[in-house]
Amino acid sequence: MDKKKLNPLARFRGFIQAGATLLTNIHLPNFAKGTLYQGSGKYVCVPGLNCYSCPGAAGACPVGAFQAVVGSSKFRFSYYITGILILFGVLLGRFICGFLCPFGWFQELLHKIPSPKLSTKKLKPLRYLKYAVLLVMVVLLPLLAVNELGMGDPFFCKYLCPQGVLEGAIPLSLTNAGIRAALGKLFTWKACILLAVIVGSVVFYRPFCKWLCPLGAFYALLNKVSLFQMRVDTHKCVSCGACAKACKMDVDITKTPNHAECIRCGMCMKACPTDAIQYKFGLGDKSNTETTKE
Amino acid sequence: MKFNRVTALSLSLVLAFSLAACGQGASSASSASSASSSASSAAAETKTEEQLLAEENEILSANDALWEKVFSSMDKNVTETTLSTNYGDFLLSAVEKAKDQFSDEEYKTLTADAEKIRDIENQIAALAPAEDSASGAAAQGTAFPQFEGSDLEGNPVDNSLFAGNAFTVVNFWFNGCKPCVEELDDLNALNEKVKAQGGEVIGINTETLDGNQQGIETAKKLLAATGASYRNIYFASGSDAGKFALNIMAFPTTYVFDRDGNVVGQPLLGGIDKEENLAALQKNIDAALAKDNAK
Repeated sequence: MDKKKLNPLARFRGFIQAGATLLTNIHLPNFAKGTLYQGSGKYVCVPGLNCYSCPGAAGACPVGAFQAVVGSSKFRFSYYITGILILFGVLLGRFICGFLCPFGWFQELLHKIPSPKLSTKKLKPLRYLKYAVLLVMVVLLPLLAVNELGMGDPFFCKYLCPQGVLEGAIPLSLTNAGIRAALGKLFTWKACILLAVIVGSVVFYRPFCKWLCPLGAFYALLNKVSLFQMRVDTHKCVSCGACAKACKMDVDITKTPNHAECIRCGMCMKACPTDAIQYKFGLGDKSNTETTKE
Repeated sequence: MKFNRVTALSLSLVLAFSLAACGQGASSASSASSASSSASSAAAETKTEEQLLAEENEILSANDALWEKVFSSMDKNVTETTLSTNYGDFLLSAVEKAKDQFSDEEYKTLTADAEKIRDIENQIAALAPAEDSASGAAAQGTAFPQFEGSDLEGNPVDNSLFAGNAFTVVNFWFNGCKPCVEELDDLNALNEKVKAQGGEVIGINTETLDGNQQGIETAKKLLAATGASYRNIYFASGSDAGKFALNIMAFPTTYVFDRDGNVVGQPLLGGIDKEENLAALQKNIDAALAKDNAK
């Protein structure tokens, strides 16, 4: 199967993920110094879930930035960040999850640790949790749970995000005594979440992406309209079901090629014996790619 | 299959890194839990101190029976002054007091031992300040940089402000920072309290640097809304003081400076509306006051 001409994106996905993670956290010397890059790059968001407070971070986290603006007393809504997010979403959709997100890559690497692997097919209802996280923790609580001066907390960052602990709290506290002294109950709580995600990632494929990630939820909403799509050639497809079996996000691509959960990882393309599944980027030309609509 | 090999390789690298991180994490956790240890003190230094203490114990246990006699003859009212003097001197005076219980030979061994311990104590004492200065230096310089700025009302301010106070509490904040704004009233209360001790609380809002009008207006509104009336100052962001302020990456951060503008203790991260943070700040204030009174 490896001899088959596979799309280079899917073929070198691991390298792309590693490269994206490196580029997202390019200020490597800061890890040793325990400082943050605070230049103008931080005015822009990176596409994936990557903590602003990671010593190496080249840009801001879109989810963190959104909450910071919504929670501030000056603005009610974060048009600038939402605009960037919609742009990312329309261009690439959940391709970002599959290829560019450092935390997605982290979970995938953990999943390679040999262990009994469990299917998440029966846990599909949990998928909707992430939309609740997006709506409640990222939008509503920072907007509405404010003090008398109109200032809110970034609830997702503060109470839930494991990436913040992994990239921010842990490396900073290792090198910065003041931060270490400030670690408290919140750190313990989120370290537990991180630990749960780590253990979960070994046995499940990308549990955080599937069930909790508000950024994944946002891109999922735009996955259907994004320019980056999957197409299944119905003439080539022999309905063998190998793609659905290969999909670790529990999507049947022949039925729903642009399902909200599809992260464009290309495992179905690898599994397809007839090369019927392809990436497609751009508008129009759906005539000969029209798939069975359920 | 080449692909698989590469992923396996990268995975093993990540695992190795994560293991290394775990190891460091454990050691940092233990150092954080050891009560008042200034956290950044290098492991090597603490080790030597431990070694020196072990040497002392060896000396004492070598002539166990004799020392036992000395200890039993000691005055049990150990006061703070006896604790703060050199332990070797303390033992010497104890031996001196119990002199008549020992033969000349025994008296000589005991004084020799006590003198050895005095030397070791001096070495340990020499270690401690080195540690303090190292950790202070880690917290971006030990003194507040020279600056010329102004308060939010436009009155000029410069480094002489430190000389005018026994100690100066400097709180770094910015307008959009919720925990910062929520401690403004507590900082004001602190300012009122420390006035009597010759102290002052100063605020530095990073959004007001360079006299940014919008930032200053918002800051004034926030200060007024929280009833804070202590001085807030700003200076040029390009100056050394500006860099000092902009290098701070966690807000609020609160420093205590002595009369010479030197940092006292470790800067505090987090608002003093939390009791444990206020206690940590109070410790720095007490240290600064003690230092000033000693002059």
